[in-house]
Amino acid sequence: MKKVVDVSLPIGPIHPCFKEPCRIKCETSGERVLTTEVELGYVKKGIEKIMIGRPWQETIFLAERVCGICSVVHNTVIVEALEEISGITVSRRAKILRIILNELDRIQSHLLANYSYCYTIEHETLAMYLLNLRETAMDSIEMMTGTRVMSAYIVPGGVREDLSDENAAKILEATYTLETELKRYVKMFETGPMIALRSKGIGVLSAEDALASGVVGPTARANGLPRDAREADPLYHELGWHMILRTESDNFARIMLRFQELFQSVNIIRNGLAALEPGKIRNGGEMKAGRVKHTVEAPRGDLTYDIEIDSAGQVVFVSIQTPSIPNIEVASHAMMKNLASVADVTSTFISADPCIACAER
Amino acid sequence: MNFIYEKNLEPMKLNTLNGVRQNEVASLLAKRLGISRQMMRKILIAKCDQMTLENLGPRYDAAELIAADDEIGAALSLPHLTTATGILSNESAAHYREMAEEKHAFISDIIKAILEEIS
Amino acid sequence: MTVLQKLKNAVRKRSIHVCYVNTGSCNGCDIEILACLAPKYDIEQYGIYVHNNPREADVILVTGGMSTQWLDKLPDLWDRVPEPKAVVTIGNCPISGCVFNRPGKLIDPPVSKYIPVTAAVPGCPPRPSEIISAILGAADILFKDYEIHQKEKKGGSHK
Repeated sequence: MKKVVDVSLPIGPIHPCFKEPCRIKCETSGERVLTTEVELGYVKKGIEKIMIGRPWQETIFLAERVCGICSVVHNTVIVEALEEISGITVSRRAKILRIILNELDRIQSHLLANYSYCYTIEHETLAMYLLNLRETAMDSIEMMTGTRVMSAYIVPGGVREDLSDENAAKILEATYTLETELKRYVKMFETGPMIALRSKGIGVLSAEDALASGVVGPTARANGLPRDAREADPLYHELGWHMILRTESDNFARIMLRFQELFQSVNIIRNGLAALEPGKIRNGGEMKAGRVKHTVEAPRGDLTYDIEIDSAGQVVFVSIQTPSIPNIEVASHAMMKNLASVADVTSTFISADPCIACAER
Repeated sequence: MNFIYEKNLEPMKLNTLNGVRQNEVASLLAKRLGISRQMMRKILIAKCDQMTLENLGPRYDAAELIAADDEIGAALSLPHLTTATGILSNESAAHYREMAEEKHAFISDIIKAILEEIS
Repeated sequence: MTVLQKLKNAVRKRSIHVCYVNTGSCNGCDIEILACLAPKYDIEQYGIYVHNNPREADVILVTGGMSTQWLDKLPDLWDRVPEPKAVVTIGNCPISGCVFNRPGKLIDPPVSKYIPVTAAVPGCPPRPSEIISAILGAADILFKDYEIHQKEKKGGSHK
C-alpha cells in the first residue's frame, strides 16, 4: 500500500548508526516525526526453510548463524531443545559452563548495544570505552571456546571443551576488570547532563503498547514488565540471579537497565566459577523423534525454538521466534511516534537493541 | 512508474508470510473470519507493514488474551483486527461493537460488513 | 613520477575511507568489522576511517550473500562510489553463500556476479586483524600510482 504523506524521510539502508541494513521511513511535519515504518528484506535468508529436511546435526550450525551477535544463545536453545526431545541429561559442570558462556555473551551483546547507543547520540568517547571493554569479554569467550564468534561450544550432552583452572582464573580476573571499568562508565552515563538531554523522556513506550505487541527482554523490563526466561531456571537462582526492573520506560531506562544487567552477569559468572566442581562435561545419548518448544533468555529477550524431528533424525518442522521481532515492531510503531526531532529516531531505534538479522532470519 | 525511494514490497511481504509462525496466524485469522487463507494474506499484505507481519505471532497471542474475557470482541475478532494487526481502526471497531451490543444486526452480518470494510 | 603523483600516493596511503555493506550476512562479520574500531585493534592508526557513507568511500566492505533487496541496490550503490574504488568481501557468504546456500534459500551468491571484487577474506567470521590486513593490502595495490595506471589503460585501448 502506498501512503501519501507530507514529507517522507528515508533513513538507511546504509547509515553510520546502523550495524545492519534496514530502512526507516519517517513521516515528518517540520522537524517533528509523526510516524515511522521499518522496511525490511535486506538480510532475509530463509533459514527456517533451509533447516527443514536437513539432519539435526546441521541445524545446530545453521541456528548459530541466525545471528552473529548472540550466536551462543541460539546454539544453546537448539541444543537444549534437542536434548529435551531425546531425554539426554547434562552434568552440573557442563550446565554451569553453559551459563558462564551465555553470560559472557550477554555482556558483549549488552556492551555492543550500549556502544551503539552512545555512538548514535554522538558521545564517541564513551562509545569507544565501551567497545574497548567489550574486547575483554570477547577475549574471555575466545579463551573458553577457541573463537570469538560462532564457537559451537555447546553440543548435545554437554559442552565441547573443558575449562582449565588457569583459564578460569583468567576469566575471574577479567570479571574484576569489567566491573571496575564499568563502574566508571556507568557513572559517566548516569551523570552526563548532555546524555540526559538526549535520553530522558525520549522514546517513551506506553504500558498498553507494550502489552499489545508482546515486547520482551530489556525493553520490557525497562517498562516494568517482569519478563525474563531465566526465572524458570533454578540454577540461575542459585547463582544469584534476580529480576531487575525499571519503570521510566524511556531511552535512558533501557540503556541503564542493560548496564545494571551487566553487573549482574559479572556476578553470575563469578558465582558460576566458584560453583564449578570437577566432573564429566559430556554425556552420551540417542536421538529420538519428537516435537518440543524451548525458550531461553537471549541478550535481547525470550528466544523460542519450536522444533520437530522425525525418527530418521531429520528436522520436519522448525519455527524460530526471536526477541528482536516484537522489540523492533514496538520501536517502529510505538516508541518512534511523535518524536521531537529526526535525530531521536535513530537513537530510539538503537535503544531497543534491534537485530535485523534475528528479526528476518 | 519508477520510484526512487519506494519499491514494491509485496514479494518481500509474501516471503515474510511464508514463515512458519506467520503462516499459522494467517490461517487462524482466516478461519476466524470465515474466508480463504489466500484472501486473508491479500488483506494482510495490503494493510500491514513488514514489521507487523513479522510480529504477527506475539501480537496474535496478545489479542487472544484480550479476547478471552470479551465475548463480543471474540465473536467479531475485534482484538485480532485492531491490536494484533491494525487492519481495523479503533473507531470502526467501537462502531461494530455497538451494533452487536444493541443487536441491530446478526453477528454474521456484522462480520460481512467488517470484511467489506477491510478488503 | 611527478611531485603531484607522489603527494597523491602519500595522502591516499594514510586516508582510506571504508563503508561496510551488509547484504544478508548474520552480523558475525559486521561485528568483527566493528571490533576493528575498538582501541585494541585501532583501525584508525593505519589511516583507515569507517564512515559508512558510500559517497565518500574508497573501499567497500561487503558481507553477506546478496539478499533479494540488494540485487538492484548494490550495483546502484557501487556506481555512487567515487573513483578510485575497490571492493573487499568479508567472510564466506559473499564467496559461496556459506551455510545459507542450500535449497530453499533466498540469497543469490556470489557477490562478484554483481560488482567487481578486488579481494576476498574467507572465514566465518574472519578475525579483525585479517580484515585490517586485507584492507591495507588491497588499498596499496589499487591506489598507488592510480592516475598513471589509468592513463596507461586509456592509451592501450586507443592503440
